[in-house]
Amino acid sequence: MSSIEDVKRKNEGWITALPGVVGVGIAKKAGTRVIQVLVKEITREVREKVPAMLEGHPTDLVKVGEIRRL
Amino acid sequence: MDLSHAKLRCEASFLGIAVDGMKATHNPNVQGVGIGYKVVHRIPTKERALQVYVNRKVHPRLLAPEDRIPEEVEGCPTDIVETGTFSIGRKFPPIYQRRLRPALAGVSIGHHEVSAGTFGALVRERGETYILSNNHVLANENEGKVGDPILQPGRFDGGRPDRDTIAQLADFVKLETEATNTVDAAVATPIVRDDVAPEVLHIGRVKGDAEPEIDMVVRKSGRTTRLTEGRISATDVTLRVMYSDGFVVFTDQFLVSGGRGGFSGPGDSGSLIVTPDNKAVGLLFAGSPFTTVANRWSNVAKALKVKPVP
Repeated sequence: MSSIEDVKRKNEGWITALPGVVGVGIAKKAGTRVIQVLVKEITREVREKVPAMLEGHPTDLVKVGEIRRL
Repeated sequence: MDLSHAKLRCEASFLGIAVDGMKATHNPNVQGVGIGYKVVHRIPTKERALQVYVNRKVHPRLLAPEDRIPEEVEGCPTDIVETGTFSIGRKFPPIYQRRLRPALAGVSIGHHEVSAGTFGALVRERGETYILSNNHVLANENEGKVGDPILQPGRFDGGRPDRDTIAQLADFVKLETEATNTVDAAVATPIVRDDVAPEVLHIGRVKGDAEPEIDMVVRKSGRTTRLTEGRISATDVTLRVMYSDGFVVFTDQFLVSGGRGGFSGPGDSGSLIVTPDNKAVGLLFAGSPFTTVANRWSNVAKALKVKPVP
């Protein structure tokens, strides 16, 4: 199984191109490392387009809104 | 029952304003007196009462007998109203938004055409000392020229070039719109070395650096939300960030989530993010009401070849 960093890097191009997706990172959920997909809003469309698992690593949708320089 | 006369009595015994030979005494908790409808359980009644305005309502038993407000004055009921202290409308800004010499990291700063951001840290490169913050704070999103005046406090906080210029723009990492970025960073040379100090306000001296890790507890001191604590929620983040001319893509960033009230707000850009033992881990530059985004410290150090002044 490829490392979560490699899987994230390989897939971030198409994921960040999805409408409503702001970014992709690596986070922890219940002790497990997950590929975190940062979205403006959690919509049915992103839920359907981002698979629950990517090459053996779980994904997680998180609402972050629009990120601006502060 | 004469409310007006009873009020004169209150003015004499609580505020020290005596007429008609009344004895003048002063109650330190009382800010003023007036006449209004008595409020019981937050509902105004039809009964008129002497209102006594106090800084803070305290149970009578916690007060010295001479400081208690009687339930009646000359047969008129009293009503204690908590008002705080009254002041004229102008509020004195916090130290973070004022002119400070020597300026400590954490306070308001900015390019003369930028609203305001945060003086992140004092850094060193080949024996020279610089003020570090973001490109969008010190270099106006690539628009600034080397030598441009840097104001402390920033323009939004009343900084003026003739009076408050603390440094000159020295160098910045260009923000690319056609490629990915790892840092939003710039440095400025202090005009007078003694006008800046290496301490971060309410944090202290920076002691080396560390790599960000998920769940790491971190702090920052910044112009808008001042001293806050948070936790790193994600690393290896690739994301797009909205600037004045559109989106800019960053890689290798990390996210911080704050406690109640969040970790950052507009104007905190440029704040240094440190561990509880004051190791530099990142440079704050972006966020939303839900999260905060920071450059990894090692990328900032590499891009500008700087080290924090210990």
